Amino acid sequence: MSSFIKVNNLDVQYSRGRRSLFEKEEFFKAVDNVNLSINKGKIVGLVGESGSGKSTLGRALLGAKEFHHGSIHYNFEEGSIDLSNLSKKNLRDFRSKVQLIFQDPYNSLSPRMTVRDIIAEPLESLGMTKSKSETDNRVIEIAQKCQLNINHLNRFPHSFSGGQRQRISIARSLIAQPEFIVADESVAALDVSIQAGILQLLKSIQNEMGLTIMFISHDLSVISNFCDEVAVMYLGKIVEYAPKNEIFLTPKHPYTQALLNAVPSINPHKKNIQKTLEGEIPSIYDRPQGCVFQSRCSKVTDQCRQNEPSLKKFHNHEVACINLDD
Amino acid sequence: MTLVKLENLKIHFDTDEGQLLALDDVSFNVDQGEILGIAGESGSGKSITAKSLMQLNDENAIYDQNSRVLYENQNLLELDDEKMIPYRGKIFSMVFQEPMASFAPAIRIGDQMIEQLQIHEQLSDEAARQRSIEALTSVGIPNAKNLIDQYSYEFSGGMRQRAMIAMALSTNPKLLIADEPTTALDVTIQAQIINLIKKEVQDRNMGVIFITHDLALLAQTADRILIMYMGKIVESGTVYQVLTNPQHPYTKALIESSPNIENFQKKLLPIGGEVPLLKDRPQGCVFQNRCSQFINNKCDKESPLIKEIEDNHFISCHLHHE
Amino acid sequence: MSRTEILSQKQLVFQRFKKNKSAKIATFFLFFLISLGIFSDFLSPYKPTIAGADKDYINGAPQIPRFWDENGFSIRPFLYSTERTRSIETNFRWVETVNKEERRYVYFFVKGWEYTFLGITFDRHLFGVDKGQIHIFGTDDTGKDIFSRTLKAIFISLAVGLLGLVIKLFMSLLVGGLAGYFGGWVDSILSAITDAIRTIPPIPLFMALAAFIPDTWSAEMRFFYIATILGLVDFPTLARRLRTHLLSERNQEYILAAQLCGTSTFKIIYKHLLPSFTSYIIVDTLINFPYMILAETSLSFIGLGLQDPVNSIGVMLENATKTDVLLNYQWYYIPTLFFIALVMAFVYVGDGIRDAADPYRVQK
Repeated sequence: MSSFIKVNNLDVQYSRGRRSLFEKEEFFKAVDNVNLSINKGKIVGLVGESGSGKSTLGRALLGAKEFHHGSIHYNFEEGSIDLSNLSKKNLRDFRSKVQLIFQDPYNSLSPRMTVRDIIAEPLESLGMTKSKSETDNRVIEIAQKCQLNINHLNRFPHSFSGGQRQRISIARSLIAQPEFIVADESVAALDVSIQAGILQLLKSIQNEMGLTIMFISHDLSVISNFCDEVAVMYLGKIVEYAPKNEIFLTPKHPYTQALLNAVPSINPHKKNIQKTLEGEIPSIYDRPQGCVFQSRCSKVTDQCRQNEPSLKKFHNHEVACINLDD
Repeated sequence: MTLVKLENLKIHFDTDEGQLLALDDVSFNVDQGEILGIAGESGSGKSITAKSLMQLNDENAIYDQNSRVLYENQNLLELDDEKMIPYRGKIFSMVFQEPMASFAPAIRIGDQMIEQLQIHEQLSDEAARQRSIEALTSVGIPNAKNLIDQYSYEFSGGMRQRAMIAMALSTNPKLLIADEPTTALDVTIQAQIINLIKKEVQDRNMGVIFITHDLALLAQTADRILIMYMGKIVESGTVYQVLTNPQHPYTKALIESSPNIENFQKKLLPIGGEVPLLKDRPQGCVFQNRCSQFINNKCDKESPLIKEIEDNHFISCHLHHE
Repeated sequence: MSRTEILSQKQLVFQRFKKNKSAKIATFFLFFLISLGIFSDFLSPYKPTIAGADKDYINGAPQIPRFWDENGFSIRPFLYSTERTRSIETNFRWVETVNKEERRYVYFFVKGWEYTFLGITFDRHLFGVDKGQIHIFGTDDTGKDIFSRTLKAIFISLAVGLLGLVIKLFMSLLVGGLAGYFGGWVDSILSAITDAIRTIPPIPLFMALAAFIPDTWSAEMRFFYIATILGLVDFPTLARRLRTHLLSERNQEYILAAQLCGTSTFKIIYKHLLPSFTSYIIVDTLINFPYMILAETSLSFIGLGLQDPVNSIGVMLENATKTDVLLNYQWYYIPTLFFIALVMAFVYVGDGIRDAADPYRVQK
């Protein structure tokens, strides 16, 4: 079975600019040689701390950040699209099939457009409807699905709460009936009690529409609850990729293990965060040679400093480490 | 020993829509050597409470005449700006969520720390610099002698937060107020900072008020916690009492809606509705329009009184009768 | 952090503006003066050009109608007849003798010279006299009625300023918009050009550009050329502001959201970016409009701007530079008062709007 999305040897670079007019432009990699395969209908969590490259990977998948090395291949229902060579027509199809839900509900909605216009924008820009009434109907339909009050569609974003704005954002991304959604920290800015509602909504819509979702977050508790499979990133590389149960019950990579140990338990009788991972993630400008995690790993050996470990597959569990406990 | 005692803290804000009640009869104390956690979501009033200790609220805040913030028998709310100076950085010290916002971007970290020491303890330049270097080292910043001359943007997020804690602790405060100190940090860095704070509390026997929306973080850090909603304390007790035996419907709902990494099959239950606007504050219990156990004609008429349901475990709810 | 209901931006600004007394008074004045200009043809008893000149009353002093004199009271205002005589007694200088016995009555809504307004031809005017002519502001050295000319000048000055403004807006939006949205080398080139224009001192630049006008050009062409110069010299500042605004806004998330919806670049600028800028444009326009009028007036005053028969206030003031005028014909300076009133009205209204729109100002 071919996968829905296939990422091969992907490098995404950022420019650091020139120090002077005479020097060459400096680049550094935010995503380094990433291979990823996502199956249709799955909710894949992408977890990592700052500097891990998870947001950059998400943007690259959306075609919002160009990449110079590697490939991203989509197998849509109507045909496949390769992000390395997008024609103008392909780009329009792509935009209707792949959408993003932003993190910040306050910044991602155009402040001077009505909510109806914001939600309708994909349909109008992609020419997917034939008349204004058809657009209006679809806006009402998706707004109801997202539990928005349809009498308020003529208001502006500033009169809505954070949770409601996020629903507007979701409605906008769903109206063109996409096949793949990237949710980049989409609940991070919300209160916990509101967050639960948004996750519930996303889950039910995913079920109903058969969506594939990539859920990017730094919050492991949310990922543990919401996702089917989890990829752990560190300094631009995927260090572990497995189904949820395996990642959270039997994590294999030292970083994943340290990460899970750092998540505070809500059970006050179980004091668990005393043993912490020391140090900090290295700067992306100073990528170490060899394994990216060497500076903080308790199991580091000389070999780790020389050779970059590749993702090895054990059944359905992929890990990039040469010092596994097995 | 009680460090600071808040009694009947009641604050209205003077706005275009009239005087709006923001804090309603908040009373609690903090003891020496204790970490008191204040948990709540947006609009709960936890930040306003913290700022009241140092009178840092906006100018349109009106304190009720019966409100008192007592430290060594002195009501701090009666003091003017001049007399408040020692409470802003020396006796009480504060650490904020966004370390980037706390350090002036155009001033070196060292200069800011030195300035604070000179104001509060009238130290000489040399002595203040020495003390600042020691403070930075003790929070785990390597090579403090050189890094002290850097600007805040040259530090990473974790290091900035450590520097802010160093700055707050360099004056040996009796009480540290930490307002969402780790919310902007990675979880591994958060763990480091929490352990640092706990160690300092032990070494210095100081009191800490730790404000956050993350209940799990408080489970690991705090000794006692207060749960706040719309300017009221709805439940308070030890961290064991409140988190393993929650009694208030809001506390229970909050726990039910929080994802738990140790129980990922758990079905998250969102709390329906939203926090009302300040101007739409309901009569009676503040939580009535979202409470699954709402009692008609009671919750919408009277505000519930505070009752002690077990030793030092208090709640404010009509469901519990004395 | 709790929410409070937010009024729309426009409503808030309007509310604050209404509280400002001086701005309200200035607004009334402004509308009054602008109306004078728009309805100048109706209000003027005589044609402001040489065609309407009164040869019998050259360099004449202002004639103020009276209601009463030794001969009795009259509801209808009147003027005295005057006669021009020249004789040995007066050293051969033209002298006006007033004949108090003969009255000339002022009538309202009289028929007079024809004019077109909004495409329709009218011939009614607000007031006139039964015999001879009435010059309430006096006349100039060819007998042209200064009152009529002043009203017309207000209109011309406003018109040239408005056209200059339109050109300025167009250039600012084009240059600033492209530079701000695309950044990169487009921005570098456009910014270099606008900065170059900005660094040249405006007065010599105006003078240099205006001096190039060939004499063969018609008055209309001259009018358009002057307006174009005004717009071109003034656009860099607004263009730069717009560019800065766009450079920062275009990185906002909602712009990325629009791009991911497949919205075209043009539509993004039009639907998402520009609306956030319109209030700034309105305020900037109102505050800077008087400077445009000032610029044109200055140019015309030194003879490089508009010329007869197209007369703006500057052109009228050009005639007032002789000592003869200063000593003997002071009424030539009356247009100055109107000019000052117009500029100040704009300034106060602009200040009022800027204060009302500025969210950081402490409200009294």
